[in-house]
Amino acid sequence: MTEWVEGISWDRGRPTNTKQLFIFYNEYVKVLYAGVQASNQIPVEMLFELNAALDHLSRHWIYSEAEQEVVAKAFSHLKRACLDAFKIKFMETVDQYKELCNIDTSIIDNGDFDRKLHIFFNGMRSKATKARKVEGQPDNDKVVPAFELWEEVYADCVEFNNNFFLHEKINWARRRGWRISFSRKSTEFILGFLAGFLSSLLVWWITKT
Amino acid sequence: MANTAFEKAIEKTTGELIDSLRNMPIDERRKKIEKKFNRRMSFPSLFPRIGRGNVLGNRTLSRQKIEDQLDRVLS
Repeated sequence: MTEWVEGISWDRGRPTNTKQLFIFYNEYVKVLYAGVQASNQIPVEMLFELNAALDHLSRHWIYSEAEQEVVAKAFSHLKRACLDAFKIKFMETVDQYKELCNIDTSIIDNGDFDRKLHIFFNGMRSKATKARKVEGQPDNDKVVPAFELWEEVYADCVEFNNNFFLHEKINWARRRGWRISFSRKSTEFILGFLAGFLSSLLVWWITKT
Repeated sequence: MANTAFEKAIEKTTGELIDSLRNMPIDERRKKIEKKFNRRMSFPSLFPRIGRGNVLGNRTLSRQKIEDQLDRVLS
């Protein structure tokens, strides 16, 4: 591992030269990429964005395009890759929420878990909606508006995973729900069988007499 | 050291310190994850969830399939 160069940090604005762009890459893109990579898969769409960014950068040295211009284009691709990473995380959480909705979670903590789950998810969803709306807002050298809001959503997604999806009583609720559903289906089957048998018996008795 | 809630969330997701994530070369991290999962990293297409149009659609090939195709052509 190499030593960290003191004094280098991303100032949270749009980069204007190659050095700033690579600082943004190291501080932000790389860690988000690592977050996606943690599941041992990288979507090709993210790789296309990184590839496009590299191609734009090369054009400054190969075709003498203005540095500021290629950096702006490369940044827009890196920004898109970051937004994709945020969306992947959020969509994973939506899938987790849907999975939880298929389990009878109302039996956990006397319904308190269920109430907190829906409140937390709805809050997170409205933050994601806001973040999506500001994606088109222009960036400046001080701030990238979309990132500020998506970061909050990302942190919420991790909290949702730890506090709700991986809650210690979820497996218990899942097993209990399965048992209730099995006993209900068994009862329905037995009742159906008995009803069929009795109606056959009735028809037999009527036709006999 | 993680300073923001976002950086802490990244640390929780990856199980690594934020400085270590920034410092480690990207291919070394890939090897480390592949070793942990005991299989090669995959590259699925998540279009249309993300991306701005993908000419490959869902027809992406794994590295192994590309190697197999090449072996077949060369044999």
